[in-house]
Amino acid sequence: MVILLPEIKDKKPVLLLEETILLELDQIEMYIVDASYSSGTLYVTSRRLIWISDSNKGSYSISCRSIVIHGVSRLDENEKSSFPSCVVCQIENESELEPFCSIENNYVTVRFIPSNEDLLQEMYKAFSKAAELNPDPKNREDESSLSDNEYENENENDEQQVMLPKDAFENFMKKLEVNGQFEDPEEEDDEKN
Amino acid sequence: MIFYQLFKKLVGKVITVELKNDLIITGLLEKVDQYINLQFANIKIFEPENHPQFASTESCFIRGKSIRYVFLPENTIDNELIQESTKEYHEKRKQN
Repeated sequence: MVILLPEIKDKKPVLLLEETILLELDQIEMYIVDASYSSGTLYVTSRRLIWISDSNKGSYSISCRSIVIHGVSRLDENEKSSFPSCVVCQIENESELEPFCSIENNYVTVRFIPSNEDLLQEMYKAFSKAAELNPDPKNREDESSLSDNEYENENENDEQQVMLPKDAFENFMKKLEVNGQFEDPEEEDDEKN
Repeated sequence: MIFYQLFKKLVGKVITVELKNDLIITGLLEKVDQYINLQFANIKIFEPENHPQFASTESCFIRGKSIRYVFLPENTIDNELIQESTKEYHEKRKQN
């Protein structure tokens, strides 16, 4: 399961061994995909995100390792975004069992909406810090690793390619040019389409 | 640590990454760590209509493991250096 049910005592999470709380914020509304779970308290710990409902909507935890990407999303009058400003994250479903709810392509979008927009940066930083504290167990960047046996079967899936085969790259660049995305790669673009 | 060194040189530049979930993001690389977790500012999503949840996202943190490809501006890296380093890295792994 991607989203777990954490152990709670007296409306506070029971922490795991050596787990610490990086940030605790109340009045955080949580959305899982399109469903709101209303207000609750968010705990960003050194291992997970834990959210405990203020009412009877339950409590949930997400392992930091499951968070593929997280970001600050701001409500913009020009945008079609239907959510208030929030921290949005995408969770990867690593389990082969039933998904938590309707998932497209094995990814679930979760949003945390603070009562005050000023909290967004703090939340984002805490999420980032938590992610940094939870590297994947098989660290491929360790040059001095002697235990490379475990990597033998991983080669195919896990190789990060810095240079693509020429054709694939050219096709991709053509696609981007058509969409006008690469006109001024060096400039900071203030306009949003 | 070759990729980490490479990415450190890219901090402050605009690059594009494609994630394993098919998200393609272009943005200013702000920070990188040894696990190739990347932090971006001023991001643009490719085909945002396919990923509405990130349409109005301005900055993001990407977990290294979720990156499929990195697209680099042509003059930012020394191709030969990368090819040599990658060769060395793989040979080292074969030895172990």
